[in-house]
Amino acid sequence: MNVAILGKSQVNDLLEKKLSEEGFTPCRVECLEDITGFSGERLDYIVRTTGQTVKVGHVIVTEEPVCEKPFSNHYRVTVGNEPVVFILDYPSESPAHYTVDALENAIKLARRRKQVFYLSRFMRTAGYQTENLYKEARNAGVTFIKYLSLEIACDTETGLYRIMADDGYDALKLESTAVIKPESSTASEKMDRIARLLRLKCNEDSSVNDDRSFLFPTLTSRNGIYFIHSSTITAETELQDRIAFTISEMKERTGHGLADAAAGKEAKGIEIDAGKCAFCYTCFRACPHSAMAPDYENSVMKNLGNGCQTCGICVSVCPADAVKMKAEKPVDGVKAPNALKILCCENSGKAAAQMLKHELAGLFERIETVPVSCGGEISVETITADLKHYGKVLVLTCMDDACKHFEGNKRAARFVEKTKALLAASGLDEKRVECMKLSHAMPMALRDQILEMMG
Amino acid sequence: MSHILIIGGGVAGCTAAMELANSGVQVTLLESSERIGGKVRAYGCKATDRCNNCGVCLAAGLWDKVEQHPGISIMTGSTLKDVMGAKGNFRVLVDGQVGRSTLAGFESIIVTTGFDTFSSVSSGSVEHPVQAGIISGYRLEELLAGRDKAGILPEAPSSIAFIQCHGSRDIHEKAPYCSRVCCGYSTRAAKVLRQYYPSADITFFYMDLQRVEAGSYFDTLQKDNIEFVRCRPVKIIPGKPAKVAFEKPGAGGVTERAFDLIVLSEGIHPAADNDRLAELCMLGIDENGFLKPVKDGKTAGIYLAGCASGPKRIEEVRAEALTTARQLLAEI
Amino acid sequence: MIVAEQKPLEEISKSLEGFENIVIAACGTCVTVCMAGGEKEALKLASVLELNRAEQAVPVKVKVVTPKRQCDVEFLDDMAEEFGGADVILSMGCGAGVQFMAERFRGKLVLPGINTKFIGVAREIGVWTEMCQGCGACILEKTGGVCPVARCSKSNFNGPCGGSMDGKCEIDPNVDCGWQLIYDRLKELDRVEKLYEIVEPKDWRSSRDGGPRSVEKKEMRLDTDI
Repeated sequence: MNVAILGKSQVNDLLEKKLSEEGFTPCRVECLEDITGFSGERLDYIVRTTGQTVKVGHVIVTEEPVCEKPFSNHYRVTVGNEPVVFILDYPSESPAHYTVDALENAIKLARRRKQVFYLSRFMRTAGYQTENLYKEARNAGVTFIKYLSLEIACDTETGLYRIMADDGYDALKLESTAVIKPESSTASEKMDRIARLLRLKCNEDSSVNDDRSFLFPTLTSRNGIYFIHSSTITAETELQDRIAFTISEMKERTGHGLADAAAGKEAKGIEIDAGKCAFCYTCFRACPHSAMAPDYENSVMKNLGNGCQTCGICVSVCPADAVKMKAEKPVDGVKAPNALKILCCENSGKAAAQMLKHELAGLFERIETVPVSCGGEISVETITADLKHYGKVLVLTCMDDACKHFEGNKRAARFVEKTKALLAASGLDEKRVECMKLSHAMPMALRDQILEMMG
Repeated sequence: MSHILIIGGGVAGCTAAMELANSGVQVTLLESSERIGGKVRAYGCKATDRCNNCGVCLAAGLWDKVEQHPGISIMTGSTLKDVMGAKGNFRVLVDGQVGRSTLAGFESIIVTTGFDTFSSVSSGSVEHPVQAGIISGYRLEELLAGRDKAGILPEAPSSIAFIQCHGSRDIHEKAPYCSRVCCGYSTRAAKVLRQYYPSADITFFYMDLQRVEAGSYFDTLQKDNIEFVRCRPVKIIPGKPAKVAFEKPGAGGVTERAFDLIVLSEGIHPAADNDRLAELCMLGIDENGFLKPVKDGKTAGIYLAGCASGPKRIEEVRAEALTTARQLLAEI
Repeated sequence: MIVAEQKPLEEISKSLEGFENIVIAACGTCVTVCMAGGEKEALKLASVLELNRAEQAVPVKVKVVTPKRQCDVEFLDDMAEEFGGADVILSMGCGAGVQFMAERFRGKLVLPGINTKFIGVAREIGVWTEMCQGCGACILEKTGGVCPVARCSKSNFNGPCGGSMDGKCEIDPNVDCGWQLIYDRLKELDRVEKLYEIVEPKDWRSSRDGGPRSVEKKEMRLDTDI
């Protein structure tokens, strides 16, 4: 199966090697400007470039926004006794791989009897390689300075830098022409373009999946598209781990990202009633995984099964009520005016509610917990329909930034807000419905919420 | 049907178990303590008004799923005594709740025995006095997990100190490596403490700061009135209240400050019985005492995943466990 | 498309007071897309009405039907029997739909559930803006594709009024100055000289001001001369 590697990066060679070893056929597109179009779904993507059109099963984006080895490329040999000054984390935090590059070059210079200063704000370690480099550098005589704030003035005529490093207690003054301070890392325009072309969700700083710890290091918002951002990798072992994980994700059958292929999940999917669909593109816009695509022949939206993570956001936003989750057996509940229905997100609420089964044993007779794929599946009309049979409805959803589907939790919270407004406007008790953002690891806070609602 | 043995029922072991069992492989999960879950089971959520990326919820519902999965048989209170045979047909001797027993027919073994915290490997030295007002990072996690809407601690503290790198980074007594996770979990815990106790003094005593998240993570913490004091390793003076004695570089002399609560941010240490495990499972021990493979997993039929082989964050542990399980599946 | 907004709940509830058998007729086209009167909205409204009546212990039966459109009679004919038992029909269609339903189901009371607003476009999920007023004599050729009738608050035809600030209209800082848009657009297209062509005072008879309008495509009819 073909795998597209998009972008120019120091990891491409190793990545290609590993992919080939595992039986994939890598196709490199190093110049992102060459890409003119992109469509499809996991196992069936089409990448169009100025030269050709390639069908691939997966896509790995490796474009790096900054210079690969700034310390190797830029340091100049000093004449005389001028100190060599390496500056990291200025004006903003350096990408991870700078650390190794800087340490290696600092050691080289220190061994040649140069006086070397290494100024940084943060330390970085990952695996033993960097640990050992720090030790080696210290032994070679490199002077490490951890600063809290830094001032740099440069005389453009003489090339002399005047540096003032403050560590909160003392200020250190350094003067030298041999100063290496690489450009700071910012998400490049290339990343913006690639994110738009591939219809990937971006973080606020326009980076595509950076440090979202509940998503694994290389996943993006779309199934089958991965991102190996070497800016955050310090050690070779870390890089190997990420490549190994990406390859194992690629081989994984259902390709639902984090979803286990547990029984029941197989049956879930999205179906669209073509008769009701108004072809309004709302689900297309709202889908965080870009798993909806227009079917022009039939003038309806269709769901891309391999791209879908069955979060249900499309179900809740469809104005025509045309999108549904494939039939699940309805649970026979404890419908009663004094009963509480808890709609809980599978990634947080469900586990939290489970933990309280002992704590609230008595009350659980009057509680019906119904897991939903994501808070995003819940809409005003599902809640108001439930309120006809239950006294109260509690929606449990993930914390902001923890939602696996990016904003399903926020949609749920908005819809609950709207439901409350409608209840109030029609003279009903708006406290009959509440929304709580939580994780499974704070069950007592949930207990308090439930007790509050059940009186 | 293939049968895999997983030694250690923490995040790594349970993640690997689910991945294997969901693909139709039979799994036996061996756990020496009374229940599965390892350390992470006790950890608490570190969200304030938003997720703070601590990774604990990666284990949401995992223990229940493992306990309910028909393809996974769990043996708690069971210790490994011997490993015999070879890849394709391992036999193990186990001391369990019903005495000694032999389990046979395992295609491969995954060792996911995890780590020990500093407080469990040291014993009440002056560095780690056992008394009220001084708690370990692990204990703080437990308190966070048990928090309700009202509070985290029985009484609101007016001053809290975090002692970073406790038990790490000093070759004389402690570990010569960085545990990677403490800067992360303790600063995130501090955010929650700040949310619950808005007027408390919160101070971090540190030697180095590990990069936790991109951007101005530490600046944000400082704006939240969390103080960072860089100094050599501190001494803790027990008392009521306990005091922290520290020396600021270039300041000359030692300063003492009293705190209602002192949190010892402790790291990841090799498990106490790693030597024994290494011998039993034909693994090696690296320079810091963690397990390491001798032959690669595919040849030996013995795999390693999780913190048994070194400090890792929760998401890295899960990624490694998944990758290892899938590697195994590829061969079956 | 036609963009509308649902009437406030209080207003709808009040107009339905005293009726027991209510049929809500959603509409599956324009008002679905602008989320004012589609099936989802109708179902939501039905639930809230039922909850409200249950609270007051007043009986009610609410049914929701969704013809694809309310402006072509066949869609209504197809489900005529759904309206048989209704004491009142709440139409969530646009003004055209409400009136057409009233015509088709003479003898039944047909009430409006939405306020029809304008002809407009979707900017993002949940946001629609006005683009066209249906003046009947389009002059977009002269203004670079931006309509001075609909997008200038004063419908000025020959340049801005001078009250705009930073490209925003003086009546509302969130409203773009139509003439700023026109100028910017013509500049982009290198057709600013169009602005020197004076637009004569508009003959408003082509618009609603000339009375209710109708359009005939003569070649589709068999009974008139072309």
